[in-house]
Amino acid sequence: MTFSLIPFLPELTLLAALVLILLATTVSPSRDGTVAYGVTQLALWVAVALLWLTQARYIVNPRIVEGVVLRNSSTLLMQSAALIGLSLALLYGRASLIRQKLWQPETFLLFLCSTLGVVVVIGAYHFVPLYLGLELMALPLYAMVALRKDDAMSVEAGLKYFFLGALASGFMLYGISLIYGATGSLGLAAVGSLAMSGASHGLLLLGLFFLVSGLAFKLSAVPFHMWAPDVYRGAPTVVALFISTVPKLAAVVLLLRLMSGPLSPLLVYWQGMLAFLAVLSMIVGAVAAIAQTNLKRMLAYSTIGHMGYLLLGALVGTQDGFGAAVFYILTYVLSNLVAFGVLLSMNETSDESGATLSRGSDLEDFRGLYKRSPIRAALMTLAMLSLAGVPPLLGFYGKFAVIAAALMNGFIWLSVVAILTSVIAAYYYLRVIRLMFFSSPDEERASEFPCIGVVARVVLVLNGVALLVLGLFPSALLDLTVQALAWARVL
Amino acid sequence: MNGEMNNMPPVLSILIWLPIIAGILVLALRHVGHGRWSRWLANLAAWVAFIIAIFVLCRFQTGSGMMQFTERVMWIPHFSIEYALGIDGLSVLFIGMNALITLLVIAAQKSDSKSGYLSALLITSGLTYGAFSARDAVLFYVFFEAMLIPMYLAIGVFGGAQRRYATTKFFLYTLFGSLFMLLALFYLYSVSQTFSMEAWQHLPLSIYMQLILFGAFFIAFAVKTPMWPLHAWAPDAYVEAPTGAAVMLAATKIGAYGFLRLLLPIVPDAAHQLAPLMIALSLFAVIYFGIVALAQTDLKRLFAYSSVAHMGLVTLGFFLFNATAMKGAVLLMVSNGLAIAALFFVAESLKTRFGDCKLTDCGGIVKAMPWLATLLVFFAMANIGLPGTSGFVGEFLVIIGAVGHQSGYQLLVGLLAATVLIIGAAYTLWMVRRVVFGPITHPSVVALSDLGTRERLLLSVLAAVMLGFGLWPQALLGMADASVTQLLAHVALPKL
Repeated sequence: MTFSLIPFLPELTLLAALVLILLATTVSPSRDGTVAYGVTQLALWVAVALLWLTQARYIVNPRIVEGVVLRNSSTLLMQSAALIGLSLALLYGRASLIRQKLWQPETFLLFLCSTLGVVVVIGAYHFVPLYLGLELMALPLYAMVALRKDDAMSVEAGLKYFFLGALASGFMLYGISLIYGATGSLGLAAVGSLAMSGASHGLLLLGLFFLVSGLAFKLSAVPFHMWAPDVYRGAPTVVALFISTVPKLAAVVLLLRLMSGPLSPLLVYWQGMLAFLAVLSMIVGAVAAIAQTNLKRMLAYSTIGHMGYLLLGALVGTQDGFGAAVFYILTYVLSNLVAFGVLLSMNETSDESGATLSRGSDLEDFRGLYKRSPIRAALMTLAMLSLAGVPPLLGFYGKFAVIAAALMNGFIWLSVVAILTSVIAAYYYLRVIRLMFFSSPDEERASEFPCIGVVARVVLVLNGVALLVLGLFPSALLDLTVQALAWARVL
Repeated sequence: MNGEMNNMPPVLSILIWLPIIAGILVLALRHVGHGRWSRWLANLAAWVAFIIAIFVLCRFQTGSGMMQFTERVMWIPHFSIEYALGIDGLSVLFIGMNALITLLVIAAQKSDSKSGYLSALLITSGLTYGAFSARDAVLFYVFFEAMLIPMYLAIGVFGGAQRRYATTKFFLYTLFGSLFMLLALFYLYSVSQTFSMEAWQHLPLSIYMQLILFGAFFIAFAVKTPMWPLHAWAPDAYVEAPTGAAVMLAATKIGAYGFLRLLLPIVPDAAHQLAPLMIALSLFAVIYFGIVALAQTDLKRLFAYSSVAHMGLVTLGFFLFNATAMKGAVLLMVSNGLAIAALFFVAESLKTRFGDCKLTDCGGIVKAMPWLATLLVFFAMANIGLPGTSGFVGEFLVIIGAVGHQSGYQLLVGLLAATVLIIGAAYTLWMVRRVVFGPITHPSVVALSDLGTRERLLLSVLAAVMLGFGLWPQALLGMADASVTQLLAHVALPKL
C-alpha cells in the first residue's frame, strides 16, 4: 500500500496554520492577534471538517497507519472534541485575552501547538509519536501558564508547572524505556502481543509504574496534583480553561489505550494503582476545595476530584468502564467550559503597573451576581450543578455511568467513597450558587462587566442550555460514546 | 419503542411538563408588565394542572390495583431506562393533593414582583407530579433529586434570615440520603438488568442483601419524610422557607411515598425483620417531637415539629403490616399535608401582621381578628385529629391497626401511639391559649386588620376539604383501597 497523507490532513492543517502564523509574525511588525485568532479558528474548524471527511470510513473499519498511527471512531470522537474544545475556549476567552494584553500572535501559536500535540497523542499507536505528541502538548503549556510575564504569580506558576512537568515527562520516558526493555518493541500492538505471551512481568510492571505516575501528573490525580491549584490560579484564565479540558482528553485516551490494549495483561496492577489514585483524588478534590476562596483554585480541586471519578470508571477495565470514563470526560469538559466561560466574562482589572488585582475570580466577586447579571448567574448555576452531579443535568449521568460500571463489577467500596465525596463536593459547588443568589452584591466589587462578543455570548448560553437539554436526553451523548467505543475495537 | 396499548392522551406527561414549561415562561416574562403577566400565567398554569388532576381523579378506576394512565417510552437504552409513567391507588391521592396545594400556594401570592419564586414553585410542582407517577426507578430518582434545585433556590432567595444555613443543610441532607438510594438502584439493576420498579417487586433477594438495601432506601426516605434521627434539616427549612415553599416541602409527602413505592415492595422480608425497630423509631418520633413541640415559642416551628411528629404515626402505620393501619397512614399523609399547609398559611398571615410569630409576643388576637383566630383554632385542632376532620380518621385507623391483635406488645404500641393525641392536644391548647385568647400582650394587636378576602377564601377551601374528607373518608380510602390491599398481599409473601 502506498503511503498517503490523506489520513493526516487534520494534523497537517493545524501545522500549516502554525507555520502561517509563525511566518506572519516575522514578516509583519503588527503585534495584534486578530489575524492569528482568525487563522486559528479557521484552522480548527477546517481540521474538524477534514477529520470527518477523510476519516469517516475508519469509523467502522479502524486502521493503523504504518503501525504507528491509529484511526478509528474513538480517535475521531476525541480529536473532534479536542479541536472544538480549543475553539470554544478561545471564543470565550477572546475578550479576556484582549483585556490582559495577551492578544498577540504568539498566544495563538502556543495554543495551536499544544492542541496539535493533543491530536497527535490521541492518534498515536506507537510509543515514539506518543511521547513526541505529549511533549508537543506540554512544552507550550509551560509558556502559556507564564504568559503574563509581569505578573509574579503567573511566572511562578509557569516555573512550578515546568519543573514538575519535566519530572513527569522523565517518569514517562523512563517507563517507556523499561517497557521497551521488557518487550523489545515500541509499537503498541507489538508490546501487546509480547506482554500477552509472558515477557518479563517484573520489568513491565516497573515500566507501568512510571507510566502511571506520568499519566497521573497529566491528569492532576492525587498525589501528583500539587501543581494544579497554583497553575490554575496563576495562569491566565483561558489557559486554565485549556489545561483543565483539552490536554485531559489526550491523557484519558492515552490511559485507556494503554490499559485496554498493550498493557492489559497487567490489569490487576493497573487497578491497584488507579484505585489508589482515584480514592485519594476524590477525597482531596472534595475536601480541599472547601477551603478555597478563589474560584479558579476551587475549580482546580474540582478537576482533581473529577479525575478521581474518571479513574474509577477506567479502573473497572471492561468496555463499560472505558465507555463510562470517556463519557465522563466529555460531560466534564462541557460543564467546565461553561464554568470557565462565565469566569472569563467577569472583570479582571489591573492597576496602573499592570498587576492583576485578582478580581473576577475570587468567590467574593460572585456575591449577588444574580442581581447584577441573571444570565451569568444562571449559567454558572447550571455549570455548578452539572459538576456537582445533580440530576437532571448532564454531569449526573457521567457520575451515573461511572458508578454503575464500578458497582456492577464489584468495586463496592470505591463506589461508596465516590458517593460520599460527591456529597462533600456538592457543598462547595452550592456555595458558589449561594453566593450568587442568596447574598446582596458587594458594592465595592460591583464594577461593570466587560463586554464579550455576541457570538461568544450566544455560544456560551447554548453551551449552558446544552447541559440541561443533554441531561434530559442523555442518550444522545451516551450512545455516541458507547457506539464509538464499540466500533473502535482498539481504543 | 415498546408503547403500551393506550388510547388515552399522555395525561401524566402533560401534568408534569405543563407546570415546568409554564415555570420557565413565568421566569422569562418576569419583566413584562411589571410581572403581572407572569403571575397571571402562573395562576393559569396552576388552574389548568388542577383541572387535569381532577380529571385524572375522576377517571381513575378505584376497584383496581393496577397502574393506570400508563405511558412508556425508552429513554436511555444503554441502561434500559424507560420514561415510564403510571399511577395506582397509592399515588393518585398525592397527584390530587399536589394539584390542590400548588393551586393554593400560587394563588396565595399577592405580589407581582416574585416571578422567580412562582417559577420555582411551578417547577417543583411539575417535578412532584413526576416523582409520584414514575414507574422507572431512575426516572423517579431524577424527579426526586431535581426537586432540590428549585426548592433550594426558592428558599435561599426568598427565605428568612437564616436561609443560607437552612438551605445548605436541606440540600446536603437530601442529597446524602438519595445517593445511597442510587447505590441501591445500581445494585438492583445489576441483578435484574432493569430499572423497572414493578419488575423489582418480584426479584428474589437474599435477606442479607435485603437488609443492606433496606438501609440505603431507609436513609433516603427517612431524610425526606422526615423521620427521627435524620430530621434535623426539616424544622430549619420549614421555618426559613417562604410559606409557599414550606408548604410544598411539608405537604407533598414524597418521602413517605417512597416507603410505599420502593422500600416495602422491594425488600419486604427485611421490612418485616426490622419492623420492631421501625415501630420503635416511629413511636419515639411521635413522643419526642411532641415534647419538642411543647417547648417551641415560634409558631411556625411548633407546626413544623407537630408535622414531623405526625409523620412518625404515618411510618408506624406502614410497619404494622395490616390494612387498617396502612390505610390510616395513607389518609394521615393526605390530611397532615392539608393541615400543615393550612397552618403555615395562618402563620404567614400572622407574620405579615406582626412581623414575627413568637407565641409570647402575640396574645389575644381573637379580639382583633376573629376570622383568623377561628381558622387557626380549627386547623390546629384538625392537625391533632379533631373528630370530623380527616386527621381524626387517619390517626384513629393507625391506632386501631396497632391494637388490632390484642397481644400485650400490640397494646403497648397502640397506647404509645395514642399519646400523639394527648401531647398534640397539650401543645395545641397551650398555643391557642397563648395566641388566640389571653391578654393582649402587644399594643399593636388591637389595630390589626383581620384576614382579607383572598386569605379567607384560601383557608376556607382547605377547611372545607378537611371537613369533607373527615366526614366522608371513604372518598380517599376507596381510591387507595385496592392498591393498599395489593401491596400488603405482596409484602406478606417472602421473596427470598
